[in-house]
Amino acid sequence: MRIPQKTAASHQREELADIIRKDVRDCYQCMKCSSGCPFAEEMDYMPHQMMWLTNLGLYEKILNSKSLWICASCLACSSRCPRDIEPAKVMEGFRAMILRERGRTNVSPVIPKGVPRQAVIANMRKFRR
Amino acid sequence: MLGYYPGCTVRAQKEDGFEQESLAILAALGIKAQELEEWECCGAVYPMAQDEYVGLLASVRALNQTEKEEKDGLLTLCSACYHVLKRVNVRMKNDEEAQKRVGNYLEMDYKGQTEVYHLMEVLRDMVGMNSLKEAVTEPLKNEKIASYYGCLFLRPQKEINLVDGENPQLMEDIVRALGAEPVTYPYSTDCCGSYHTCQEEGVSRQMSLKLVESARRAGATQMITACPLCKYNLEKCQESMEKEEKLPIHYMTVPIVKAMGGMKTLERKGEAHAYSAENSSQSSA
Ligand code: SF4
Ligand code: SF4
Repeated sequence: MRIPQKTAASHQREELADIIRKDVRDCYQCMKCSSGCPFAEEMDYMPHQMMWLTNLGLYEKILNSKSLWICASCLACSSRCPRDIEPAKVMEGFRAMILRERGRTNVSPVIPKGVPRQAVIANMRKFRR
Repeated sequence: MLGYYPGCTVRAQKEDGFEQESLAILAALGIKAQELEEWECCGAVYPMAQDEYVGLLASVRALNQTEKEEKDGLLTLCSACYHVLKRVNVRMKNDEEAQKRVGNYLEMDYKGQTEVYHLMEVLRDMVGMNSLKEAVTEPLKNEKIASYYGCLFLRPQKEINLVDGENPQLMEDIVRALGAEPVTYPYSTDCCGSYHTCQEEGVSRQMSLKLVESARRAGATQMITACPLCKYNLEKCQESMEKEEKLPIHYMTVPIVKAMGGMKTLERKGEAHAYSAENSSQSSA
């Protein structure tokens, strides 16, 4: 039996569009993004799957995914996408939606001794608002 | 005269010598750079959210300051500063909305006029590989150097526009000019795991280890980078190895300084340049 799933409300779609200013519907699922993503192994949904979920409106799955926080914004996907979707930016869009609503994530960063400041600051920007 | 933007990481890790060595190399090659009178942290990540402008402010201040001080461009050493400053500049050049909002807030009219340079770019475009080669007094004949770029210098290519994003050769050219042999290995453009070291350390360790192992298999005797975080990750992943098993990770300035005769020689040459510049400006005045 299929259980119908809740899809994104129009205000959520608008919010995402405002942040990323991209039309994810241009994605033709070639998977170039995922095949180049050095973190794909660690992800629950790979970048092309995240784009597919976006188009299906299954934002809940995305907002609860591990992938959003695994992505390190290395931009390998964005630089190789033949449709100029910029998956890294789409993921950043969803992270921004979470941070704007809740102020923080439930991922808690650890700061090892001696880590360069740029990593500490980048972390604060990624996980807190 | 270039403006110089140290950035918080390079400044905080002064004892690494990256800053001192870079400025000494440039001075010895006749390139002058002076620290901006005022600067603040660039924010370390480029704000990708298009509807947010706060993240642009610190960088725009530095870029505008460069113009105010009538410098010929803004030099920076850290990969993250370079990435952020350069992309913010591109945005300010092309995005009218950003010009308006940031301009109103900071009460300045900035439209991306300042050029942003990295050390390796200055070596290529202002010094030139031939002059660098001529300045080498002790060629590094026995070194096989693997150049590691990391993400921040490469992507997105159309904004950063420093080297070919898929097959960069600039650091290799520098290595060649120093008389060393550049090592070709498959991961010079891959991510080192970046700030996962503060989140899931295992993930970044695994990724860095892959890079180091691949460089070692290709015969490297050392790896060079211009990114403080890449350097940290590439060293950290080898933490548990025996000393002789470790592949040394250096800032790209280390072999340059060595090939040019050491810091003392560089400082002497830098002073000589400053002296002759002063004299020529006096005689023309
Ligand atoms: S590379 Fe671009 S077009 Fe291809 S699957 Fe990824 S997002 Fe879609
Ligand atoms: S930016 Fe994120 S999703 Fe894209 S390749 Fe890098 S880690 Fe993977």
